[in-house]
Amino acid sequence: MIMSKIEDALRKASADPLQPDRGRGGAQYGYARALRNRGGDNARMEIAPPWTPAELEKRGIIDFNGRDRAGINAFRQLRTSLLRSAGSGNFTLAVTGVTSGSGTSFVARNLGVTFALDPTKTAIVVDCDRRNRSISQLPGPDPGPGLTEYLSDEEWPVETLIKPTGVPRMRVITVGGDAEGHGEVFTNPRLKTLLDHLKRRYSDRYVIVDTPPIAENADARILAQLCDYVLIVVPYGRVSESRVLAAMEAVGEGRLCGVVLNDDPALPL
Amino acid sequence: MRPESGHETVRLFLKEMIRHKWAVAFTFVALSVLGFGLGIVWPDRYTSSVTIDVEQKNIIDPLLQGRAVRTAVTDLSRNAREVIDNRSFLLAALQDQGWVNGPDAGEAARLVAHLRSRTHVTDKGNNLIRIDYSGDDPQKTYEMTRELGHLLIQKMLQSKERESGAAFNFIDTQVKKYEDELHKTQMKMEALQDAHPNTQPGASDDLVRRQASLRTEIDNLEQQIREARIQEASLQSQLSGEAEVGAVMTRAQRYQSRIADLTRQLETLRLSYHETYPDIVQLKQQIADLKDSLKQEQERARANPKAAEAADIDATTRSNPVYQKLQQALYNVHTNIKTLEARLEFNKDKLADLKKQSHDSQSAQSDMERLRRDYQVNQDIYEDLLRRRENARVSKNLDSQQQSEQQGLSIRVQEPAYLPHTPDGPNLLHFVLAGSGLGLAVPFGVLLLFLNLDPRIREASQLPPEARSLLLASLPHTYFGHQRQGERAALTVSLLLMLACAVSVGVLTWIHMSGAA
Repeated sequence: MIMSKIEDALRKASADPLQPDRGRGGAQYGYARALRNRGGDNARMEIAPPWTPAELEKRGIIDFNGRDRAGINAFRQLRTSLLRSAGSGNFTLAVTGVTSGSGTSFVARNLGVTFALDPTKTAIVVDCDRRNRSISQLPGPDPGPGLTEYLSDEEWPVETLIKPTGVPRMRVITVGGDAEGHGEVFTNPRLKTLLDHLKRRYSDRYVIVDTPPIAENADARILAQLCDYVLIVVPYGRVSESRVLAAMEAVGEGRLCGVVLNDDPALPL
Repeated sequence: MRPESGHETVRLFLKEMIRHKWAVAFTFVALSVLGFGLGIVWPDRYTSSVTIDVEQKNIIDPLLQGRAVRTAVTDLSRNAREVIDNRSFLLAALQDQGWVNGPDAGEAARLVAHLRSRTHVTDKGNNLIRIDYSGDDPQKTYEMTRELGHLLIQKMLQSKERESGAAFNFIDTQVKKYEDELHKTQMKMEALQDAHPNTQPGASDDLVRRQASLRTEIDNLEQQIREARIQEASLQSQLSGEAEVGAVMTRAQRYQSRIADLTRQLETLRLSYHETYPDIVQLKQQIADLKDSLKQEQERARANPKAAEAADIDATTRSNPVYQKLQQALYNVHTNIKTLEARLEFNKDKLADLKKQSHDSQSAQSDMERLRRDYQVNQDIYEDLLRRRENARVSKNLDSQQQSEQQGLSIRVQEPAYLPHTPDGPNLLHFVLAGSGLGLAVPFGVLLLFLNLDPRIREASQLPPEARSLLLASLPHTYFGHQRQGERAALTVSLLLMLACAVSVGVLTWIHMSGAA
């Protein structure tokens, strides 16, 4: 209750200056550029107005104040398990699926929200799935330039990549407007540098990378190599044992920190 | 599906059931309605049955023990099925019931096939045959069942009567045959009797006895003849010896007896007189003369004995009384021998005759014996057959009486046909229940099969062991906004649909069945 009151107050405070720009890509772009001009200090970054439950729902984010206790608890348990297996310190975590449609993005963004729930932690979700850009849709319908632009342009400042969301303490890096056909984007060593930077910049920041299905996509394998840990999402009733084993083999020993079973149809009673 | 616990299985099953609620609901509705529809259009089937008791033990058995043999009908019960399956039998039943009237052979054949398929014969043991018939109409079913039972009994009784009649006829023929045989034998015996009047029983014994006595007599006669011959020989020799002795004796003896006489006189005289007495002297003289003569005679006899004998025999012997006596005896012996020989001859003839007679008698006797034996045997058989014929007649009458009375002593209707009131077989309720049951079972079974065969992972326990150890969480499906309510509503609607379907089908079934009843 206290949290929601604070959020309400914040929303009211920030509602007026932002209101005219909402819903328009150009305004977002302008907003990003403004951030870039200001010098990219995270502490000084603008806080986007918190999303209403309806906005959360539209974006496929679990309302942690809502009544879906099972989902909330599951994600909290997942967070706790990840923290326990990581030991002390933050980490970069690649979330990949066994097959397309595993719900990788759903897990990545909600995991980000779950980390951000903790006031002592922040989360940044990096969208690396060039086919399914659902993370990139989080800030707005037209995300503008993102990771691919950054990787192809050495002059592109890091700060403009990080975009605020309606969830406190959670930021997003969109995948960018580059065409899917643009080959080996993620082999660029700047990506590694970027990820390291994102992790090291703040010790309370947890970097979550949304990747395509690992067994089907080369990008995912590269990304898995770049991250500290890999989480495999197994969709309910869609893959066989061998596919799971193939995905685990693709990740390789050491980096694989866990498996989650997603979209388990709980009894709606 | 390899869940490790039953609880997990149920949970998984329920989850999948809810996931596919529409398929489940529609399958249930479709199958329930289908079952109801089938039940409505399914024709009612009425079954009636008649039970026939074959060869029931009853009072007639002990009464007729050993007198009449009841035709065994147990075999009939065994092939009652064949009897009923018989085309002519079924056709007769159809005609009796008036189902078949016209000469339409195709229609008749169709009806016969129909009746055959609807009729079932069961051997219930203890000589009970049950005939079931199922038809579409209760009244017709009842009538046809009654008809089938009636016809079967009639058929069995007819068969029995035919059998016992055939048995009677056979025995009757046999009786007649033996009667002829006996008559013929009797005639033969009479003819033989006429030809050989002696061939009475015991005649041969008499003959034998007579032969034996004849033989004894012949033996005696022969013995007597032998004795007589010995006597004859002895007399003959005595006779010839006597003649000779007589001849010799006569002269010498006469001399000697004269001498002895004279000597005796002399002795007597000497007692009274002296030697010199004249008489004595004379006597002495005479004796001396006689002695001389004797001497001469003896010498002559010694010199020519035969001549002396022959010369003297006739004269001497004939005059000899001994000789004559011997002669007499000899004659007697001769006569005796002749008589004996005649008798012997006669007896021998008689014996030969007897022997011949005996031989004839024996052959006639053996013929007679044979005939008598034949007669005896035939008579035995004849009498036996006569008895049997009477038994067969009783059996025949028994069967024909049963046939005429239709309620036999050995075949009777144990349980008559009845008018079926309620249709048997599956009724509407069964169809509805089956449809609803299938409506539940089919999705259930299909889902169970699908879950068992589908290798896709639905549960943590289905994960490979390597992955299971790494499983951090199982994230439930997230319902955003009103999705959950929508899902619940859908579930409720599907359940209500099933319920409504079940209730409406149930109510319709009840209405239909109460209306039918």
